Amino acid sequence: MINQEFVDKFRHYHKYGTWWDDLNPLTKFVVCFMVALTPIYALTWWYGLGVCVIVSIVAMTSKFRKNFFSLAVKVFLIITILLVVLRQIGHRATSITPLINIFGWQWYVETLFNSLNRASFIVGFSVTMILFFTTTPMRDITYQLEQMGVSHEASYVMLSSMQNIIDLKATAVTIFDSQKARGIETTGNAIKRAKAFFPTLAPLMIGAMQGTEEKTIALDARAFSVKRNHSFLRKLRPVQGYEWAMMAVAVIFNIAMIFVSFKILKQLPVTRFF
Amino acid sequence: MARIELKDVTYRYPYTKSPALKHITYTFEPGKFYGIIGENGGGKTTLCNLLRGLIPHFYQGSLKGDVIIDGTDVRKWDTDELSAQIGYVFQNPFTQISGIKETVFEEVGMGLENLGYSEEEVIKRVCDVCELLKITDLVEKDPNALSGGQKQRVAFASIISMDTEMLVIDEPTSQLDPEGTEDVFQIIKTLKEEHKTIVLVEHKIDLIAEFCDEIIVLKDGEIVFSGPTHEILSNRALLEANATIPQAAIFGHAMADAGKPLADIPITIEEAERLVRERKG
Ligand SMILES: Nc1ncnc2c1ncn2[C@@H]1O[C@H](COP(=O)(O)OP(=O)(O)OP(=O)(O)O)[C@@H](O)[C@H]1O
Ligand SMILES: [Mg+2]
Repeated sequence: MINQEFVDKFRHYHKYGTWWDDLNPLTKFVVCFMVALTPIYALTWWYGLGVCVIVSIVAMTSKFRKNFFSLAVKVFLIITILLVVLRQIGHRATSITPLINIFGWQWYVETLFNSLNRASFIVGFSVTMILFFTTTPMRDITYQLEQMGVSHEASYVMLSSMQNIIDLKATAVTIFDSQKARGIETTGNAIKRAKAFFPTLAPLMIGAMQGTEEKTIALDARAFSVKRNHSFLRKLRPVQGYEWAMMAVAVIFNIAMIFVSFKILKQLPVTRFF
Repeated sequence: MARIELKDVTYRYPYTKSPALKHITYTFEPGKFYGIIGENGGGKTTLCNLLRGLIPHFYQGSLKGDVIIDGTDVRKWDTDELSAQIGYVFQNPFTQISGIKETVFEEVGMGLENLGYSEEEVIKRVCDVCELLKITDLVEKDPNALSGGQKQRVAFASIISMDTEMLVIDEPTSQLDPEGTEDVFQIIKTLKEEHKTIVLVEHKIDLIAEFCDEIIVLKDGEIVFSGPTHEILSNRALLEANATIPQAAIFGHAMADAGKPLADIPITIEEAERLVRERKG
């Protein structure tokens, strides 16, 4: 017997059961994008940090929070540390207040804040967009795009590229394993690994190319490109009234932040470390 | 009107020297069940590609002669429309999975979505087909993570759910256990009862003997034997050509060689049984 409860799900809009995840992908995108732009205007470390905190709180309510945090934390730390350190190497002339001295390498407070301000706009933007992409499965994005008139084919290309990356990764692992079994070194130092890596490329590429040809026929067998109106087994809830309101607020907030940033924020003493 | 007519068709894949099909002339009538047999590399899959219009629309190369589908030359057919007319189950089920659906249920329903069936219709058909192919316990699984046999069932289900008038089926049981093979043949039998035109490539000759109306034997791209199933499979020439023939026919020929011929050469066990019983002495 078929699980009727499972089948019944296709009779309704798909539900993740969490508020943020169940927003329409369009809503999530507009809100995230509008917010993501604001740290770029603000260029202020505490504003960027604030955005990251709020985004993280939203992410915590999501079913996909693990995906979010595993990527967002990496991006946050790598970009921040990189910029802070690089800035301390190259930005000395105007720096006045010493921070610490690491074996003769003098760090300055002003340089630190300057680099944090710069990091904040990259990190703030990235982390907010990561929220969108990690909490919105590709199939949801393409579904909404199709609803908005993007072609079936384009949406397939997006979906299958995602799947291809997953498949390619799996294939690479298989090839690596079989080469290891044949005695080729795939672990160890970088040179050894590189030597093992290049021979795997050829079968990988050939495999990927063959896959494309086969996939084309496979889709054709399912009447993929037939010129009729398609139906959707899995449907997402259309944009609700309050979601339009959310988007409007996000846009207004974005515009407001342009003014706030250039008229007020940059005048505050805490942010004037340029 | 013939469903598909092949007139002196010769086809060569791109970048190959010798043709994969040579001077093929054959008529496929609507509602009939055709079996294609022959050794590896004989051109069975190529013939399927031709009947389904993948040659010349997808596989370039050189195509000579006429392929007429429903009265229209294949070159004039819109490929996309052909895909809605003729179902094609591939030899390799691994390549038939779309790779973009999250569950088997959606995978099986994909063709129906593309054809624009209503939600309820899609759900109903997918449920029916899954029931039929005994994959109801797989519906929630990821189609990319199935065993070979499970994939083959899902691939088969995905195509027959589309309920096309004609079906081209290339070795649907290569990955299946005897029970799975039996299931698939039962389904093919029902499809036959629904008067669909079926072209089936299959190595399991006993099954071919039981179900097909006509048989085509391919060797090196040429039709070496063709005609009504019984006539072909009971033909001694087939035995002499070292082709695989049904056990019952081997038995029939052996009886004849031993000087105790049956009234006819049987091709199924049931026939053999009947003939032996009817034989006097
Ligand atoms: N895509 C292709 N490109 C070039 N040559 C091909 C291609 N597919 C098949 N051939 C060649 O065409 C010939 C017929 O192959 P085909 O796949 O039709 O045989 P088959 O009877 O289906 O064999 P099998 O029993 O192994 O499935 C073979 O010589 C094969 O090498
Ligand atoms: Mg074949």
